[in-house]
Amino acid sequence: MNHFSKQQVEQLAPDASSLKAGKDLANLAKWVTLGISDRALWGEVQGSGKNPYQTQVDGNSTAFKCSCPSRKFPCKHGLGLLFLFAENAANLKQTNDEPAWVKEWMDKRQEKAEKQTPSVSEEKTDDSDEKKAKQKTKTQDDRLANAQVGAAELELWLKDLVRNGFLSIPDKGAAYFERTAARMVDAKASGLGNFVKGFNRVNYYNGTTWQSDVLEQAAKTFLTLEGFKNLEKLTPSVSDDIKSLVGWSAKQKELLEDENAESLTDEWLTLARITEREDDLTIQRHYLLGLQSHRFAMILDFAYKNLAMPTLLMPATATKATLVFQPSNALLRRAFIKNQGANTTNITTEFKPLADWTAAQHDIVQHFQKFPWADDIIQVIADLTLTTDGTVWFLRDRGGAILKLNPQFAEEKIWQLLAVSGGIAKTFAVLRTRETVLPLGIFEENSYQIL
Amino acid sequence: MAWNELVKMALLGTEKIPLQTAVLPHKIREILEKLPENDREAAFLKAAALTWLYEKAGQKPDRTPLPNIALANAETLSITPPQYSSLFRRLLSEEKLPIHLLLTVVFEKMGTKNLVLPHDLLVSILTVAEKTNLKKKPELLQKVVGERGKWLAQFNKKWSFLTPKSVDNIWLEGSNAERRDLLEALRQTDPTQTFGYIIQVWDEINANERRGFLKLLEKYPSDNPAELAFLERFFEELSDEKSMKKEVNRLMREDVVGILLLKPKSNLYNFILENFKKYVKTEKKLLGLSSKTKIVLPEVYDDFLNVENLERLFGVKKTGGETIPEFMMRQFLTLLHPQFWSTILTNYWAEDLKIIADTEGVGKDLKKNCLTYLAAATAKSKHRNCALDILKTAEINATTLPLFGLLTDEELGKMAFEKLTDQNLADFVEALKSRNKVWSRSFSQLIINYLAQPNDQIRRNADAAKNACLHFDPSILNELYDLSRKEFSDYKGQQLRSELIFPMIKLLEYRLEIDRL
Repeated sequence: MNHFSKQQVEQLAPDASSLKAGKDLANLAKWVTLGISDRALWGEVQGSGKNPYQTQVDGNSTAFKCSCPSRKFPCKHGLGLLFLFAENAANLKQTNDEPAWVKEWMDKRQEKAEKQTPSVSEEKTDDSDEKKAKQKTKTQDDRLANAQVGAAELELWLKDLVRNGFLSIPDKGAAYFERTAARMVDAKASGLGNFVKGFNRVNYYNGTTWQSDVLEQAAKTFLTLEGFKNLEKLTPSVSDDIKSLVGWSAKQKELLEDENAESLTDEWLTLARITEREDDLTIQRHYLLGLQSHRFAMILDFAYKNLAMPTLLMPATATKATLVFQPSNALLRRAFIKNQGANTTNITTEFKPLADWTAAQHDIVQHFQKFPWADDIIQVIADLTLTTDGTVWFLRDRGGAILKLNPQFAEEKIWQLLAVSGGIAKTFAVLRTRETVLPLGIFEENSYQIL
Repeated sequence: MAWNELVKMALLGTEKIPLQTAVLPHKIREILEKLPENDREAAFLKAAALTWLYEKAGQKPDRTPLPNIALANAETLSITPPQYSSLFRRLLSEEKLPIHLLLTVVFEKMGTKNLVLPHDLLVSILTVAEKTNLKKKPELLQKVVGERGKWLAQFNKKWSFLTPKSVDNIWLEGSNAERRDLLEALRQTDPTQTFGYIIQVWDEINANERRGFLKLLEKYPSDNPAELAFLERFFEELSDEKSMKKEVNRLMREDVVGILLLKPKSNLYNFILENFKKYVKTEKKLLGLSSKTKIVLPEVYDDFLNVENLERLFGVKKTGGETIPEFMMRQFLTLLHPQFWSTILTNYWAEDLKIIADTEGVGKDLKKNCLTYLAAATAKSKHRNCALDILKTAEINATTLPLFGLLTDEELGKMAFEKLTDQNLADFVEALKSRNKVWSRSFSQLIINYLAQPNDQIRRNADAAKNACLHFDPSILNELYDLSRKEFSDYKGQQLRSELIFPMIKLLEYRLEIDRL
């Protein structure tokens, strides 16, 4: 059974209210029963129902199950149980005598994990294969034709904007862009729709930056459209990237079953889990680093509102897993988990961090060479210290080069970083954003601390 | 930058300003020449896309002239062992308990053992200190935050309480609020020095600030003769006809009268004493074997006892419904040091009040409220003997509760608490809290039995109990465990268990855990 810190458990909460409720439940007096074995953690807690809710956590791969009716995942009971474990691990007596409801669930999980070998597709007749292939090709051709019509429309629309100038754009209102975005969705090019929605994300109240932001959005959209027009001339991986940007989404099941898909088994350290809300959609990104392969990967999940996310990895923990990568030319590629094993917080790696911000800039150039749209780039950089001019905080490399901290990095985290480091240089994992840097964690000897 | 030039062109539109490639970097011009474009807008967007990537890829990080942050000094004391960290983490996750009180006890313990806080918990603990009264204990905090904490405090102004300014520094450079806090703290330990600071600035400050300082002198009385002389002089200044016409001066004069009447050595107190003596008569009875003291007011109002003189004396107007004797006695009872009555009447408060109430011309309202007025004066003058006498027999209510704070432990131990009620209990606990002592087991048990009643005051009692958690003897835990197991069928009982009994159990368990550290 892995140990979790309170901070790690906090990262698992789907929202602030679940976090608060989970913390409230981290009270021994509120649990009717509690237990822990070498693979699971469980407890019964009295809720509003007649019978206590049965809550259980797979301690090695951080999976949750609870009999409560909550649609949140993990629910407050699961979080409460893990908080309790984080704070009282020493006081909980380990037993191998799991109650039946825990044993049943854990045995099933174990069985499923053992069975998870690459599935062999059933033999089918040549006829049905041919028919299906034909149907598939037709569907793909239809979709491509539709998207091409949409892309042509968008190109005209974009050129109109450029011809008339951007001065009147702030007055156009959100509906103007939403209409065009909706048209792209109709044309089966939802990715292009997202590019159009990007114009609505520009802060038109910032009198000094919106003009540049609009041109950037227009340039990125144009680049995509040009790529889409020239798909046949591009290498397969670049072509895949362009199609993905236009709206072709990766089919997880197909990819996991594809024997030719690139896969890699490693101990994957979760550097960070970042969750964003876009309208009713929750977008979750896990950023991973392979401790042996030294490769980065991103696991991207979507969920409607607070519904359960398919992937839940514990930040600052390494998980033995096989990842299958989506075909792409990008250096940071989306991946799917094929097999997942046990977690560990002992982080041993010979990974060589980038030496300074100049090396980091060269790394960024390599990202752009492969994928010009790259906007979330993960880097690990050595010997960084915090510094300030009295109002703004920066991360400074050993040569005196600085990068401004992203405003999302809360002041409280700056104090925490100072308290822990005492001003001594550390190796940081960071997320590079436009002109700023978001620290994700620091590497210590055989451990990684999330920030 | 080429990008900025492109942004300017984009604002006006290609119809007005077609792409001018001259603004573009040479490399981009070379690429564009290889990709001829007849379409004006496409050419512009192509140039924009290339320039965007070109500039983004070529961005060099800024260099700073700022020096590196000086490293924190190594700790000279040991960092707390793991059981402290475990305790701190649990305390910090408590949202409904007054954890700053418990932290104070842990810090005191750490101070005696020369231990400092673990670095990873400094921020959370300093944040608690910043939001609670813990920040008012800078010496204690300074000791436990260690070198790292002191170093850390330089980066966050909110933690400046860790590097307190010297008394002189605050006095010279601090804000008005900081000065007030400083004087309030100093007045309790060194009233003469406090008075010295006030005198230094008295001529430079406005009337409102003066009133603030006068209230401080009244709240913490002192026998300093220089202070008395100053107040007498100021009273004279304010008593000038012209001066009294200003409302603010009238209010200040009222404040000074309040202070002077609590000082038996003041001229004003003695002036009243001398004038009042003539109304006190002793009648001999039973051929001189016994006597009865009473207050006999003149039938025709004299130079002392008349509205104009009394209003001038107190600086307040008589209310319409009050008789002159009532007005006078109410003001005297509330404002004069209780010693006044023992000097001129019987030396026993209950008898004195009876005599006052029996005075001709004194109505029902005053008779009813005599004790309230006297208790207020007793609390203000901090006259312990009078407080003890009053508490022996008087009802416990909002008026008499503050008097408990004046008693010694021994005197308190001998008090009977039969008169405690649901209504006055929380106030009673609050009054005792200021004593900063751990109560005896029997007294703790008595109080918890009173507090743990499923009545309408649960929330208030729970707050009182939690805030007084350091005063309860932790050995009453067993009684609390018994109470927690008790069957409560109604909502109030369940509320009592969740809001008072469980939190108190938790608090006292923490206390025991801290004791064991």
